Order: sequence, then C-alpha cells, then structure tokens
Amino acid sequence: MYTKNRSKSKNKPRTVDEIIDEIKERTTDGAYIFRGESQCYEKVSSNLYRELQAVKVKYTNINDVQAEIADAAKAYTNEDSAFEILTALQHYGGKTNLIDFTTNYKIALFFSCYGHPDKTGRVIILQKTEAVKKMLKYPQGSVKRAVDQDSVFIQPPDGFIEPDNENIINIPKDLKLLILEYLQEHTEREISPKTIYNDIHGFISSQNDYWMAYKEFYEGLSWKDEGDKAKVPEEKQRVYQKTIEHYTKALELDLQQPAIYNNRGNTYAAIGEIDQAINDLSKAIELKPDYANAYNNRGDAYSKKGKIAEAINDFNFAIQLQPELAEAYNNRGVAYREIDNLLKALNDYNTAIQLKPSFTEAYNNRGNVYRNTGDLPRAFNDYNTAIRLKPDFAGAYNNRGVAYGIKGQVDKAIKDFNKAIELNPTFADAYCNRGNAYLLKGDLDKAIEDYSKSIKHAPKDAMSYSNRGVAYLRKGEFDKTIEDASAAIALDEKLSNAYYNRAEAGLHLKEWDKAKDDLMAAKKLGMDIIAAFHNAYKDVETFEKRKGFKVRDDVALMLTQRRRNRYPKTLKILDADGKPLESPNVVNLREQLHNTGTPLGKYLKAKPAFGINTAPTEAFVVDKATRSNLIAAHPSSADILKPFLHGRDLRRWHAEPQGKWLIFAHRGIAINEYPAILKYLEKHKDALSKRAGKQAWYELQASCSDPDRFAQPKLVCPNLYEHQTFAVDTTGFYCGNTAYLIPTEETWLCGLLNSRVVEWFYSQVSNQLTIDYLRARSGYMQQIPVPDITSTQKALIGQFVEYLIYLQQQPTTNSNDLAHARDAIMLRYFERIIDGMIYESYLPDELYKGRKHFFQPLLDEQLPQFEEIQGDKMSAFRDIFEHLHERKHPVAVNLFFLDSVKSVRIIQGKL
Amino acid sequence: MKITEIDIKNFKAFCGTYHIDLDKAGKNLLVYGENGSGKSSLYLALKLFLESGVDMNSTDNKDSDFGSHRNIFTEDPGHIKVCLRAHQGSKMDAYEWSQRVKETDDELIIEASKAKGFLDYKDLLETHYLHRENEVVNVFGLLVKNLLANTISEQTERSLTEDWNDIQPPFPRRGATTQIAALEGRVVNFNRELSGRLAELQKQASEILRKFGYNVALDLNFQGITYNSDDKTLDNQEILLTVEFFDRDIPEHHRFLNEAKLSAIAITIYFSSILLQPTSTLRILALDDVLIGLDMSNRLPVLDILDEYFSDYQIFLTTYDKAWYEIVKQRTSHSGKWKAVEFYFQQTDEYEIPVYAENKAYLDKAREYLDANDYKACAIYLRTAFEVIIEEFCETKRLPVRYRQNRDKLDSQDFWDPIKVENQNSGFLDPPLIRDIELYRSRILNPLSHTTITNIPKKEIEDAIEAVDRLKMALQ
Repeated sequence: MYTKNRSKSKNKPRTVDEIIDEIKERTTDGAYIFRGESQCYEKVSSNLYRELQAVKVKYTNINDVQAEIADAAKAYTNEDSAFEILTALQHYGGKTNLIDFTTNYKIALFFSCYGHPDKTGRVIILQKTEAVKKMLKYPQGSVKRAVDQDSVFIQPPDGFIEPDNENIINIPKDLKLLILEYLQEHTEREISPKTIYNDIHGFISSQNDYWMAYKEFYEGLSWKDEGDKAKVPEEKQRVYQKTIEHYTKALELDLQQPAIYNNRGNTYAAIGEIDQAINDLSKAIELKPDYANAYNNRGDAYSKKGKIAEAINDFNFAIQLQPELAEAYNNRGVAYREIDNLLKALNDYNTAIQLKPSFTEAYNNRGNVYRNTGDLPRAFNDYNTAIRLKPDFAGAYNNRGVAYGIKGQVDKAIKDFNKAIELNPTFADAYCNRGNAYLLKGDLDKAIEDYSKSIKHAPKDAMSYSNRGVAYLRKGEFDKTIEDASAAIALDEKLSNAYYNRAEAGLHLKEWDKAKDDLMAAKKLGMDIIAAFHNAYKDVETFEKRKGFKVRDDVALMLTQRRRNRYPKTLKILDADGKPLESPNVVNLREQLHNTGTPLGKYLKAKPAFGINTAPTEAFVVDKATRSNLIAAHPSSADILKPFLHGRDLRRWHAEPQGKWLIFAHRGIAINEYPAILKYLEKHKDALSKRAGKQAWYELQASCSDPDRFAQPKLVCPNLYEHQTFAVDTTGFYCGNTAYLIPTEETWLCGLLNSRVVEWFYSQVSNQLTIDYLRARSGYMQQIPVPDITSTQKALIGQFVEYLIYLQQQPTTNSNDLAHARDAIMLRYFERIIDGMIYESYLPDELYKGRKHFFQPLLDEQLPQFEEIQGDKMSAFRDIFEHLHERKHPVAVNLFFLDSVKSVRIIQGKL
Repeated sequence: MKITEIDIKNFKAFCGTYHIDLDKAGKNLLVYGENGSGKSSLYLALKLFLESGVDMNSTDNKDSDFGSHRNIFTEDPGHIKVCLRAHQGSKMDAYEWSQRVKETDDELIIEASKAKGFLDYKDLLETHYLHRENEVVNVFGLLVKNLLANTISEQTERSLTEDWNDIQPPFPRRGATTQIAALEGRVVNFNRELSGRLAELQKQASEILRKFGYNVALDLNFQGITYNSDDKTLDNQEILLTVEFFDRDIPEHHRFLNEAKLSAIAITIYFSSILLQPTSTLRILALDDVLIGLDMSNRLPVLDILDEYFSDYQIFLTTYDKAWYEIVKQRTSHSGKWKAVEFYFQQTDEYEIPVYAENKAYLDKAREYLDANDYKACAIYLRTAFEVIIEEFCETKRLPVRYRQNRDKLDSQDFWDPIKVENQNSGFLDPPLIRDIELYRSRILNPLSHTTITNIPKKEIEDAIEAVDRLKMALQ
C-alpha cells in the first residue's frame, strides 16, 4: 500500500520543491547515482547504442565495438589506459558505450532541464546494487569537467539499462526554467551552464537552437544579480533596464516560460513600474496557475500600489500553494501592518522566521511591530539579529536608531542613522530620523541640514517638511516654519502636525485667525493640541510671559486644560478588532512584579552563566567505561575527569545524570601530565583541529575563566525549556553549554524559579523562541524579581525544595502505573504548596485580603526537616501529604480557592 | 453566609421583575413548577449568576455575558440581584449582575461558584442509556462528562472537562513523536487524576448509599485510558461500576442495578464529589428535577442525606411533581429552614410567562398590576388565581376531573365543569356568582382574550377580580 501511494505521487509532482524533495530523499546515504535527460528516450542508453540502433546493426556484444573504437582512437592521444580514452571520447561527444551519470542529483536535475524546453525531461535514479556496481566506472584523473560534474559512468553490457518507473522522475517542461533558476540561486555551489560546461568544448557542444534564448535568460539573471547589489539608484535603474532587455529578448525568441515573466515582472517592480510588473506576473500565473512565487511577487507589487486587499489575497494563494514560502509570510506581514493589524503581522513574521531562520527582512519587520507595541527589548533583539545576519542592512540600522530614540538614547540613535546613511547615501528616512535626533538634542542647524537632505532624496515626503518646520520654529524663524508647514500640507492634507506647527508659528506672529483655523484643523484630525502646547510651553500664561504679549482670548481658551490628567503617556496599540494588543491586567501585573523586591541579578553574589562548550562532544564527553580505562592507563587522568551534566539530563528539582564524564582540558592545561588523556584525544585530533578559536587542539574551546563555579552549589536549568526546570546541584557536576547555571547556596531560590509566577513573568519579559519554548538568557533571568521575605519563610520554601528533590528521584512519583497515581499527585501537591508560598511572597496584600495564608499554617505544622525524617521516608511524606491535603486544612482550602485572586487568574491565563 | 433575597428581571423566561425573599436567615428553597414555568430559569439564574464572575475576558464563555440570557420578549434591560447575609443579624450585601454592572467577580462569589453543587435532570439522563452486562456498568461517560465534569484537577488546577478536552481529537499525526509524547503525558495526568478521585469517591459514596438502606459497597474500576497512536483512538474509556453486597438478602440481587438505582448511585457520586472538595463561605447546592428518576421510596432518604451532609449548605430543590412537592413541603415544614414556592406559567397571545406569587397571593398581584394600569399582567395573575382556586378545590374534594394524557393540556373548563356539577348537589355557589364567573371566563379569564384586554374598561376588570375573590371565599 505504502509504496503504491508513493509512486503515484511521483508521477505527478507539482512544484519545484516537491521534485527536489523527492529526489533529495534518495541522496542521504550516497547509495544512488543520477542521470538527467532533457527529453525522454525509450531506453536509457549509450550514444553508441543509439548509433547502432539507427543503422540497424545487430552486434552480439556492444562492448567489443567500443573496444575497437578505443583501439582506433589510441593513435590520436597520449593516453594509454583504454578507459581514459573512452572518458575523453565521451567528453568530446564521441561514440562510446558509456552512459553519463553523476553522484550529485542537482547536476542530474540540471541536465534534465537544460535543453528541449518543449519536451518533458527526466531524472533517472539508480540504486548502487551489486548488479549496478558491476557496470559502474569512475573517471580517472584529468578531465576537469568530469570532476566538476561529479561524473560516473555506467557501461551496460547491452548498451542500455531499463530502470523501473519507480526510479524515473519526469520533469514537466514548464518547470525546467524554474529548476534551472533554483539551481543557480539556491544551491551552495552554483550550478549553471557556466559551471557545468566549464571548458570550450562544453560550450560548443551545448549549443543548440534554444541556446540564444537561454543565453538571454541567463544574461538577464546575472544582470539582475548585479542590479540587486548596486547601491547608487541611477546605477540600479540602468542595470535593471538591461535585465529587462535580456528577458524581453528571451521572450521574443519564443521561450515563453513563466519563470521569465516572473523575473521580468520582479525587475519591473524593482524600478517602480508596478503596472508592467503586475502584467508580467499575471502572465506568469496564467501560464502556470500553481506558481506560488509569482503570486507572492504579484502580491508584493499590489502592496506597493496600496492595493492591500488584493495583495493579501495573492499572499494567501502563495501560502496555500507553498506553505513553507517564508517570503510570502513576510510580505503578508507587511501588508497586515499596513492596515494596522499588528497581531496578524506578528504571527506572519514569526512564521516566516520559523521557516527561514536567516530571514533578515522578517527580523527587521518584526522588530518594527515590537517597537510599535512598545516592546523595545524584543525589538532590539530582532534588529540586532538582522544586523548580525546582514551587516550591511541599512534599514535595520535605521529602525534600531528609531528604537534608541524612543528609549531616549539619542547618541546611540545618531550612530545607527550614521551607519544607515553610510550604507545607503540616499536613504531619505534615515536622514529624516537623524534630523529628528538632532532636533531632540537641540542641534537645530544639523537637524535642518538633514531634513533638507531627506527632502532632496524624497521630495514627496511631507513629514520631512513638517519636521524642518519645527526646527525653524525653535530657531525663531517663523516665516520659514509657515512655508515648510504649508508645503507639508500641500503634500499631505491630513498631516495634523503640520497644521499645529503652522498654528504655533502663527501664535508667535500674532496671526490669531490663521492660528485658530490651524489649531481647529489639527484638533479635528485627532491631535491633542493642548498636550502638544503644554509640552512646548507648559501653559498659555508661561507663553505670554515669555513673549510679553497676550494671546487672544478665544485662542487661549483652545489651548487651556479643562480637565486634569489628560496627557496620554503612551500610545495604546489596538488590533484590528479595536482591542488593546495587551490586556492592561497583564501589563499592570508585570509592572507590579517587576517593582517587587530585588532583581535576581543584584540579589545573587555570583553571576549566572552557561556551561562549557564541549564541542566536539564525542571527544570530550566519555562514558564510565572509557573513564575507567583512562584512569587505568594513567592515574593522573582522574584529576581532569569531571562528572558531567547535559541540559537534557535536567528535571525539575533534581538532575538525572547519565553517568558521563567530561575531560576538563581547560585552556592552558599542561596536557603532558595526562598522557592517557592526550593519547585518547589524539584519536579525535582531526575534528578537534577544525574548531575555530585560539585554543590548542586538545583544549576545550572556550573553557570558563572560573572552573570553580562548577564545584560550588548551584541551580541548573536547560537552555531551552517548556516549563521552568531548575534543579539543585550540590555535588559539583560540570555542565555543557546546553545548561544554564546560577551559583548559589540558597535552595529556596529553586522553589522561586520553578514557581508559576516566575514562569509567567519570565515568559512575559523574555524572548520566547516559539509559542512553546522559553530560553534561558542572563539578560532576562537577572530581571526576575526576588521578593523580600524573611529567612524563616525562605527556609520553609527550601524545606519543601528538599522534599521535592527526594520525591523527584523516587520511581513511584514518576510512574505511569495508576497504583502509584497518589504519589505523583503528592509531588505535584508539594509543588503547588511552593507555588502558594511564592504567590504569597509576591502578592501578600491581594492574598491576605481574601484571608489566604500559606506560610503561617505551614509553620504551625512544624514539619520535619528532610534530614530529620527517619525510617521509611516515603511513608512519612505520604502522611504529611494526606494531612496537608485534608479538605478542611487551610493549605488545601487556600490552594483550592487560590484562583479567586485576580492576579493568580491572570497568571493562570484565566483572565 | 446565606442568600436572603433574589431579584430577577427580564432573564430567560422571566419577563418582568420577580422577587424571591428567603428571609433574613436565608432559608432553603423548595420550588414547584410546571415544565416551562420558569423553574429551570431560576436554577439557571442562580448558576449563571455564580459563574459569571470568572472568565470575563475569555471569549468562549458567552455565559458570563448577561446580554446573551436576556428575556427575548422585552426590550427592557434585565438583571439578577442577590442579597447575602453572613447571619441573621449581620448587614446585607447586594451583588448585581446585568449588562451594565458585574459585581460577581468578587472572591466570595467566585469561590462559591467553584465549590457549588448544581445538578439537573439532564446530567442524569445518561443513566437511561447505560449498558449493563453481567452486573457491570460502564459509567465512564456519565462520570467524566457529567457528574465529575466540574471537579478540579489536583495537577493542572483546571476542571476535569478542560483536562478531558485537552486529550480530544484532532490527534497528532502518526510519527509526530513529540506531540504524541505530549498527548500521552496529558493522558497519564488525566488517568492519575481520575483514578485518585475515584478511590476517594467510592469510599464516600458507599457510605452515603447506605442511607438508602442498601448495605452495599460501590466499586469503580478504572484502569486508565490509553492512546492508540496507530488507530488514533483513545482506548479503554471504561469505569466499570460493580456493587458488592454485604447483605445476601437483597432480593433479585442480579437485577439490582436498574435505572432508578443507577440514578440514586449517580446522585450519591455527585454528592460525594462535592463533599470531597473544600467548602466556600457561601455554599449552594441546587438540584433541578433530579429526584424524578428515583422511586418514591428512594426520594425520602435523599432528604435525610441533605440534612446530614449538607446542613451547612443553602439548598434549592425544584420539582415538577406536585405530589412529591407536597410531601417535601410537609416534611420540611417543621424545621423552619425551608420555604416553599410555586411557579405557574400562563400563555398569552404572544408568549409564555411564568407566574409567581408567594402564598398564592395572585389576586393581590392582579390588583397591583391593575393599579399600575398593566392590564395584561393583571389578567395573567387573575387567571392564575382563578385556575389555582378551582384546581385546588377539585383536588381537595376529589372531584372527577376529565382525564387527559398530558396534564398540561387541562384547562379551566375541565375543572369548572365538575364544580358546577357538584354545585347542583350542594349549592355552595349562588347563581349570580356562577353567572359572573361564566361571563368573565370568556371575556377575561381566557388565555385567548388578551388581544382585546386593553379595550376592556377598567371597571369590568375590577369586577372580574371581585368575582374571583368571591369564588375563592365560597370555595374555601
């Protein structure tokens, strides 16, 4: 059944990706070889065979004929070996009984697509069975092309082979160019006529009727590349024009391929000829209705035209056709942001990044959404990632600059704008933003200079005019303000700022009527003119005092505060349904927690950090038996073999080490004192030497400066986790860099860090990797507030942590056997008790209001310290559990009703 | 803490304002009501009022929005107001839930909602469909989807229903090992939770069941559901109920688990689940028609059980069985802890409307509405008064009333006729009164008359009230 289904899908592959995936499946273990044919012959045969068939010669053994040919050819070459001669013959198009295959499926794909654009091509996949191996010949030595093509030959006894249909993948003619384009652009090594036919013979032999058209297409592609790289707009424009010319020629040569229309459409879009672009892209879609990329590109073109609904429609199509097309998500995100649907935009950017983790544009775009919603840490994170991945990304610098500006770090902002302008000297937005930054700093002349440059590069941008007007206003050049504001209004009659600026200038010039009209206009457009005036002059009285004249009464009235508290502090971001993006409940609670106690970073005496980079792990991390052998070989080995913990060994409360040992070959180690270890590491010398960094080949890559911290008591958690997963380690495990370490002796902190409150807070402040996973990061971890509680309270939490460390190690608490269900519930119940105490620590007022106490009733119980519990510990714990769990016990009652507390409901996601 | 007053306006079936006074002590409430009379609306009013405090922001709980429960026949806004007193002497706190005001997100109400017991006949319907084989009954669906649905999980701190929904399809695709492992983890948690709960329950339930006079022990055998990733099914959805008999004398003991006893067991299990939870300050137990499935002999023990186990709860008991209502009313009348009220429903030309008046003071209500110039409402109460008077007379005198298969189809003619017959023998009604009643019965006391009631002069309606009052005196 299963194989049948597979072969069915094989006959009807639809997209480039499907075809490539299908072939890729067979490449994993190198057990296959491939051949591409641009048209389908009846048999997979050698050219000699076809030759003989044509003249209808019936020879018993084709290889005898081949041997004769090789013999005859010997006279013309220096080669002695018959096979080398055959290789050369094959290379120059001579007749041999060799069939070209390749070990690189991409090369086979190339041949299947290159040529015969009107015919279906195919890729033949051959498994290296014993029978095939007998026919297999490898080219030896000198022929460069054979090497570049990863060539192998099949020398079939009868001149042909007949692979079953299962192993033949047909390439529809309309996909040929798409695949060629894919091979040129998306493979780690470019595969194109240039690299495949890398000598003159190749060039000659590859000529055919369609060569000219292909040539134009390829010319177009490479011009486009150049255009993408060009920085000067005029140059870009010129190169793109060239690109379009080549594509047009290819089309005129009757190479009517959707890929060409798609590419030409894109190029039109790049030079701003949107209508032409949409025409071409529509044509591409018409020729190939499942052309996801063309939909995506047309959507982008619609977007540029401001037709957002059409754009989103096209992106939806693209995504439907090719759900992993990251670009389409990114573009749709842009479209959603355009119509202020930030949530949907955010979702799309997330998906785009998930699909393509190196997608710089998507990071940049997501950063903008975060910035708009006021989430600056996440915004910075995204901009930084974008810049790291693409250091010449002017847009990301510009956006990060804006974020710095919002944060009030104007100098850093200016630095970023400088960088953006350096990378793109015609970047109008960056000039305008830098102008804003200078304006903030009070450097009015520089601001005006920048605004003027911005206007020069983007003469239709009203904002730069309006802002320059502000700068003139500050300088007291009111006429110029009015001039600029009027220019801005002429470009955008809805720009409330410009009206307001003109009004302010009018006040200074005592042009009351005009000022009044402008104030009304600004107000009508939704501007809070009173707040704006207040920010500039405090109030009318102050303004009058400074100017030495009275503001006309009716105008003064317009600028006077009537109710208090009307200055909105932050802009509320609404989603498409008009709801605030984040509930105020959540924001307030997060702030409240943030302001509680001491941040963990300050509270701790030592800094948290990640473990050691143990790469290559197979060299540095050894099992118990290897350790014994190493020590037996030389006793000194024991000194640097340390018990080892992996991030994945970590459970809540307690780690479950897998009995591994780390060879702690730290930087500067005197390796010769450990001969057994040295000998062992030599086995891995190749892999060890390949690592980056300045360490000696036998040293750990970046071993920490302070190895002692492993030996100290600490809390450890994995670097990536679903729920808070801190474990207490007092036995001095060394950890890999998949673990995060907090050096401390205070076990109660483990209870704090594993609590539901902290998990909620952490997921709020940190950068969640996906919806499901949290990541340990010092920057965020150190923000976790440690509530101020008494040492008795800390000790009580610590006591329960000790209980849980023990319980976590018991088989019955983790068993799926329902006979032990009660023990599992006990463990969870003790965790909930800690949660209760932590809630009380953070939110005492709220809990006490409903008379919910945990510390006091627990202290009243005088529960035994872990060490005091004698005899059967489990049975002692069960007794404690059943007692605390009785339905009237205050702890049970308070835990049961804990979610009637509003903040608890917020944290539990119930509000 | 007890409820002392309930005020309901334009909610579900309640059109207009209804006020139920439970005295300063906050008595239990026994409600008789015909089907559709508003009895279930009262049950729902209480339930939704208590639940409305949580999930305010969650869009999937439409129930916390008062607007979705408004009476559909009126444009006027409605509300539910509940007054509470800690004890008789303490001051009263009022809580309102309406479209405008929501005071139910108070910790007191939220906690009461979490610990409350609300069971209605629909929860027990499944006992009729249970499959019995060799004295073993699979009660998985009954328990998980009905009786224990709202119990709170020790591990996830959510209701069993939420945990159950979390392991429902769509299941992960085959080979998605991470998702399958996560699902299996949730299944294990669910199993632990349920098996832990059942162990406690069967002890408590067996004890309560003995109050019915059965010397038996319940066994609820649950081996845990399992996820079958090949077939993508949840297997072993089985909680096997068996009964162990300590008393060999129980007759026909192989037929012990009939529907009636299963109902009793189900109620017992529900009670037990409430009793195993911590209790809130305000404790409400409401049973809507749930005793109907029991044999009469098993209903009375329930009263004892309520007395013994739920004496610190405020109980709301509703029924549509008039005979049972009278029995309970009589049984509970001495304690002074109960109040008994009756709901009727009246058909108007436009809609059905519940009619409620304490101590059957329907005529007084009719007069009130007449003074307020609300003729329609006046006519409804007047008609109710008339019907209650003649019906009760027929019942007490045991007059032969025409048999109709559906009691609801009986109309005033069916009671009036035998009274006239009886009158020919005893002559307790004078002829003018009979003439008046006959007259107004067609003009005012008739359900089909209301379209024109507004055209009837006020004087005539006053006379009709007068006539019914006279009839009441004459028949007493």
